[in-house]
Amino acid sequence: MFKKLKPFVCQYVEVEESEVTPESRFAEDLGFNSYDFISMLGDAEDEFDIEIDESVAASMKTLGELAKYFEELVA
Amino acid sequence: MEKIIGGVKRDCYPLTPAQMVHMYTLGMSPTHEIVNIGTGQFLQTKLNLAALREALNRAVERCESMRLRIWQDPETGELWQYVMPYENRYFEYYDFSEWTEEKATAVLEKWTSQPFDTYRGELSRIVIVSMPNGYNGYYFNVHHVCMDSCSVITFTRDVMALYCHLMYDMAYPTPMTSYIDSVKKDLEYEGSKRQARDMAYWHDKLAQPEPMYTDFTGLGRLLELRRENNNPEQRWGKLSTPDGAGNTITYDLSAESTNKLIAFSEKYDIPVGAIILHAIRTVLSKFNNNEHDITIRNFISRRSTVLHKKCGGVRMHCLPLRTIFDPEKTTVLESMRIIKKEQQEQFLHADYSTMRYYYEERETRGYDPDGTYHSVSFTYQNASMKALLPYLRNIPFKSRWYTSGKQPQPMYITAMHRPGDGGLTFYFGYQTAVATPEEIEFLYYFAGRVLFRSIENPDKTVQEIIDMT
Repeated sequence: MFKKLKPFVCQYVEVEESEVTPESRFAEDLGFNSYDFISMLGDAEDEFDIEIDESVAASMKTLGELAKYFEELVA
Repeated sequence: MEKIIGGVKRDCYPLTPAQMVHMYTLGMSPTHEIVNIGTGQFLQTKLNLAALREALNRAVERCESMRLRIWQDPETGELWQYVMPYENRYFEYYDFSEWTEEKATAVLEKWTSQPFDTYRGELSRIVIVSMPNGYNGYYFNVHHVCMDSCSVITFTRDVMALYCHLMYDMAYPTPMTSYIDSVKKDLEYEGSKRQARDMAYWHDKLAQPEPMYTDFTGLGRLLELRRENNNPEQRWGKLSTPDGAGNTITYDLSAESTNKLIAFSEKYDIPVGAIILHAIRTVLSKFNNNEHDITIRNFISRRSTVLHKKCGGVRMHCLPLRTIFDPEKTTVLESMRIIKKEQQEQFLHADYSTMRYYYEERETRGYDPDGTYHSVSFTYQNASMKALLPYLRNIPFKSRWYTSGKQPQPMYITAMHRPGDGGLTFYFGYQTAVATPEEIEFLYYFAGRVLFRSIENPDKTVQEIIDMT
């Protein structure tokens, strides 16, 4: 899931894919603001055909955490 | 769709819902300057005019929405947009350096009040100007159907980045993205699964009990309407004037106070916009007999992806942000978190057409055509020129926004970071028939006091903050 999520997330921030790791933090490392993050979750529902609980996803600080949550939803 | 316009084939696209809001404003207003956005960007240094002209031309070339044209099909009346190929532009130069600031500003405001011919010719004007006190730069006026404030900042930042590249060895800035690509994405929304989800969300809002109109001057207007309509239970208000005669008053919050706000935002994970909304909400509640049910119209930039951040154009949607709670039983932090949650839900469903929502609201609630539940519209703009400051090597930089003398919103508060010190500037745009400068000043100072009492006392109730203010 992380491999799929990486290029998807890079549509929202001007960061090279090679610089993104599972430990990358959305706000501090990738420069997401709250609007970017929430919009990305909305788009992810269509992209990965999942139903996200925003209150759960909002607590995710890193890309790795979000990938793990998405994996659970897909399973 | 290909169209023949003036004997030339053009790739045309329908207007997006965000653009249609401005076409609606145009249709309702007798004065077309109501859709003008005027701004000035100035450095306190002698400019290299040739480099500035070059930077402006490159920026126009890189920005499709700066070359946008609107065309109305004479047979069907349908509106279409297309992008003209880039052609080198010559930018005039005016020297106001020996004038007073007031006199020079009056000229730029007069320029902003000159309407564009929406269906003919260029929809923007750029003039290089020297202003008093050694500030030099350019004035920029653009039709709102081509750009919103976020897009204006992106374009002006690109001009400055290109100028810094030419003058101060800054790397060539990354290109803008395609406006037409963003339009195509917007047009795909119609009939999509996402639209169905958003529609369900907003229809659910409309199924809730009727909101309450809260005026920024207090209960007087609503009570008068109730008397006029002989309806003591009426909950909707009216607040706009057809001619839209307006003014803008600007207040600067110091960088030090802004930093306190940002520190609070980071500590408690509350967005700056939600903190300001809390202050506005508290004031509206206080001025309306401690009303629990408050609606503010929130402007959302809808620029989350890199494509949308850098494509220019107009993408803003404005939708109601309604919160209901008792100020006596709600702490400051709880209030801000309720607003944050509501705002996040709104972000998630912000692609829903503004015009469609308000049409449906009127149908559902049955109010008069100019009825409303909000008296205040708000936007927080966090885009800034900060990244360019190191290249400008401490050269003082200032941005100014100029009024066209018309306001589409009765009361529209914009909070924006200054390019130099990062402090917040609040622009209070208002229709002069609905507010006086004294009322605006009172509103600003009261909201400011609420704001800082709140961040100093996040565990106190909202009522306690009101009592302290």
